[in-house]
Amino acid sequence: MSYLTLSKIDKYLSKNRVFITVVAFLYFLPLLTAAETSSLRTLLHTLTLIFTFGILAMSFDLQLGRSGLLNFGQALLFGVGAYMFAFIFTNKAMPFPISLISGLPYPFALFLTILVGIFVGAVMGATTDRLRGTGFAFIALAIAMLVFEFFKTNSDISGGETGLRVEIPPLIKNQFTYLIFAIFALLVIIAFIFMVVQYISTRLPVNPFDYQKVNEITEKAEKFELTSRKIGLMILGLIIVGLVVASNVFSLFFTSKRYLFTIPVQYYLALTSMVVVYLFIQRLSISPFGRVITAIAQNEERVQALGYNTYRYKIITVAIAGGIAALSGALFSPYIRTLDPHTGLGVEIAIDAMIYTIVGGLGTLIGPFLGTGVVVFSELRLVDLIENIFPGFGEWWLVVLGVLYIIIVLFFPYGIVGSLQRRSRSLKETGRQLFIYEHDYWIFALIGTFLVFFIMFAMVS
Amino acid sequence: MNSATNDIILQTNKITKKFGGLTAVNMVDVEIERGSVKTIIGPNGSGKTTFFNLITGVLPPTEGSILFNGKDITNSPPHQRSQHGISRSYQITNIFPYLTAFENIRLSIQGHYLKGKIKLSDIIRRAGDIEVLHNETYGIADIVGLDPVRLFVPATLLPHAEQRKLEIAMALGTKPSLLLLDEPTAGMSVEEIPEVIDAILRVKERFGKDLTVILVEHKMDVVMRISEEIIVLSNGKKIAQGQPQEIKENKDVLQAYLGSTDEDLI
Amino acid sequence: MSIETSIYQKIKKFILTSRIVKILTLVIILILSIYWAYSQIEISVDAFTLKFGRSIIDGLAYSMLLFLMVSGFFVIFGLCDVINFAHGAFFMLGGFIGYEIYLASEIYLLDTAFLNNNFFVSLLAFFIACIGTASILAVIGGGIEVFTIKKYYGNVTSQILLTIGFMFIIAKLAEIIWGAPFQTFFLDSSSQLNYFFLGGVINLGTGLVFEVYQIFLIIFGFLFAGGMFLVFQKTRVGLQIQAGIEDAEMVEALGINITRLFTLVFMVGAALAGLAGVILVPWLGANTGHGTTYLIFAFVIVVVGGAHYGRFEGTFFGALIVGMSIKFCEYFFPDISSIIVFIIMSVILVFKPGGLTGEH
Repeated sequence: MSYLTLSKIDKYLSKNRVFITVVAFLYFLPLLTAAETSSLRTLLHTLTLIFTFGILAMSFDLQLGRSGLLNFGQALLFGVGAYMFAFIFTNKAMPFPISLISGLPYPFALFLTILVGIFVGAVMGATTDRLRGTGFAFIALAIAMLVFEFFKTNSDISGGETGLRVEIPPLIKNQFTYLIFAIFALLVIIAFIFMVVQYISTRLPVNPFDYQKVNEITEKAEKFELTSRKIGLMILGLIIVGLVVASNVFSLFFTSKRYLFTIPVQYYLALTSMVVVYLFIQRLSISPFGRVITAIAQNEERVQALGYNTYRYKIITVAIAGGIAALSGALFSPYIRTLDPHTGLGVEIAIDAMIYTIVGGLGTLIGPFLGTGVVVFSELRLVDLIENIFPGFGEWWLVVLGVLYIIIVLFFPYGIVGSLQRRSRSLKETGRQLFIYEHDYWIFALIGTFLVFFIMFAMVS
Repeated sequence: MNSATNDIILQTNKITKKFGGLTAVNMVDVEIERGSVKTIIGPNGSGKTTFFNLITGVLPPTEGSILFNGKDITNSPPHQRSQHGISRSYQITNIFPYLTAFENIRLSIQGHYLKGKIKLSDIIRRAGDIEVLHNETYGIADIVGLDPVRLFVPATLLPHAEQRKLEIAMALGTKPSLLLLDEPTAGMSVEEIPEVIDAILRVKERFGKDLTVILVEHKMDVVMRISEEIIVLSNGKKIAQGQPQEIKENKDVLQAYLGSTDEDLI
Repeated sequence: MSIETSIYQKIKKFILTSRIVKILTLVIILILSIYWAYSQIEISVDAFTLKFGRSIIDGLAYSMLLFLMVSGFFVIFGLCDVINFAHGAFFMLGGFIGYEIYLASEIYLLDTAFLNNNFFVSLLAFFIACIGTASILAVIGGGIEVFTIKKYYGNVTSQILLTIGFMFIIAKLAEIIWGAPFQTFFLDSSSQLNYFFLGGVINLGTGLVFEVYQIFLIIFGFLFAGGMFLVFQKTRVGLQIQAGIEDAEMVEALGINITRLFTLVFMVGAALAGLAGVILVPWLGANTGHGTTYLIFAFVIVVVGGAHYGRFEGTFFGALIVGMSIKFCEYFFPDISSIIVFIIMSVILVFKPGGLTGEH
């Protein structure tokens, strides 16, 4: 039995090397920071926002990219989450029904928020019965606008112009939460080291220029066995990582400044949520349910003729997307600290989610997240960048962003990831000619991620 | 339930469909015996496809009722009729173009397998892990004679004849007791037609009494080869019904076909 | 059968068209006669009638303005199937270009002393502004279509991103040139003459006051709508466009050069947006924030009127419903004036999922 699970882990690791690499890198990042004013903390703060909106974009992509449902009411699904959290963690006294949930513990708050998001999504999805295409998009927009106006006019629940001030939940400011995440991060890193050792011991003995043999690597990796030498290698890796981490983390634990933990804990929360959502949607898209919604996007009438109640499938899709978007809102609310109707429920959120998704590539799962990264980071940093190169032209940033979108469309008409995927066959072929095989991609992923983050780090500081 | 209704799988009573001022199907009464193979013929625009759409529930009838297995299904939505056992193929190839042929068939089997319910586990488990679906997909692909090499190619890249066979395979996937085939040989070259006819005959042979087939077809040689009985529609009305030989000599039928040609000439 | 149906459709079309022409004439005659009646008799007006009368005139004027703007959006959306997010930006840009052209040509006309009547100077300047703006916007719209959008028909997401990109560029450039949205530019206050030929008010006594420009807008709007219907029913290009909106395959089957038709439609759409922008300036001014506000209205009206396979009349009545209800609510139910359009849209979509004229 234990051998079976081990071989399963082996199989998983050997098949998802790129994913493990990137995730391990992201989990490793906060462990490097201890200083109070490190620019790495600024980077973590920015990344938290990117993860948060990345989840929103994935939710949008689940609807448009996988089931062909264009939802302009995405802002409401996001706002539900944001306002639920604002209601729970605000210090302002709320009117009766809302006051019941104030001060709920964080895990329950998260659970309740996702439930409410699912419910609102289901209500929105219920309108797909009679309405298709643009009809659904606009009825969803109408529902979102009605709620937006309601919050705008009722300042006793939305805090009016100044907005609601959201207190940081005690759990986020806690070093023990951080410790739990740090331990989890170490587990992910162990998995990464395991993967590296597995890779080294199966890949290196094979002549890298022998195509036939390289093809056998995957099979070999699945039959990977732990020997004492390999375990030794892993322990060595762990000790090196451990030393780096320990020198930073432990100095943090003896400080009385608990606010120092807010940024890394929020980062970990957002990262973990994103990884969970990523895995969930990845699984969903190959599930019986996921296959049906993909089919609905291509030919709804035929799906009905095959005996599926497509209406029910669409409701469930929007409901799931609602839960995910609410999760994103729930992460956003304690992050932004002050929530007014525009930042929580404005139409711009739906348009932003659409832009993120399209820039990254519709229906590509990782695309929406990358698109979010590109757009959010440009929005935050473009002004400074332009100001540095052409002093006095900082206000042109939105023009530059517009030009950027047009360039993306011209060179990547299906989004960054989408267009690369369409060329994946020829790209893989080119790689093979350079003796780079699928087993080696993770190395480039590691170098690439490192470079991207180094550039971001340089731009933030 | 008496034995008479038991033998009749599908019965339409004065079924009528009007589009604005145009009557596409006009008071058609049809009784289809279980296990038979019938063909509906008629000139262009005589309401054959509309009649299929009424039976499968794509369009609601203006008047009349439809009984399937003795049950009134006049107002059931399409997916429920599919669950009851009515299945169809389309005149214009109607598949999921960007899914593989295998995926296309598996989806149709899965529809019957899930019985119209969505459980939480269906969202989390892998479709590929359900072995029943896997095996049945290969089984059906084998019956209709789909090329196993091409099963994992996106359906839109398949040649036309293969797409038509895929269309029949998908219709079979829902385990129907009544199979409606809307011009299965439409748009095919002469060499490709026998392939599809063989596929239909193979299907009929395989399921025997459990499967009733209604065809819409133009090519008379195909009709004569496959069907046991022919129903003739003209201007939305049923004008004749009988053995292929009788229909060949029926005056009304000749009138309908020749009449329409005359009009075209004018 | 096919011959029968086509004749049937032609008859139906004819009845529909003539009905609309009749309605339009009736409405114009009604307005004129009411005006005449008011000018003849002096009636005491209570507060309700006052509000009501104002809301009707305001609403009609606003509807016509919306209709002008949305008609461009509709033809682009209907024929090319492109959701043009830059349409609001075209509209806003049209306002500013018209504003600048008006001021420039006014100065030029005064300098050359070609005309020394203020009225004609203003009239000519406004005319030049309308024509100039429409042509500039047509060039911009055509340019955008030819150089970018042309390659991406059928790829909806690319089109959305492209048009959003242009929306950002135009909106931000306008903000850089003309300043942030809290400043509104008005014609008469910035013109040298301090005069606009359609300025001033019509006073019907006892507080019932209308701006002359609103009446002009209403008449112009109805005339324009009538003209558009004629174009759509009688001319070759109009028939092609309507046919294309209802069935894209049919146009290709008829062998019309669809690429050129699409470019033309884009030019016309952008020109209409620009024209609507100019027409707006003397009433509500030019503002860099107008783009987004009116874009949402454009969406709503097109959806209400029938987005897919819809007809031109749908857009007209959609604009009428939206404009009237907004202004009506501003006078009577100010609390819900910002959401009334969404309520109306929801109600219409629930009962007619394809919009007023569209198919589901």
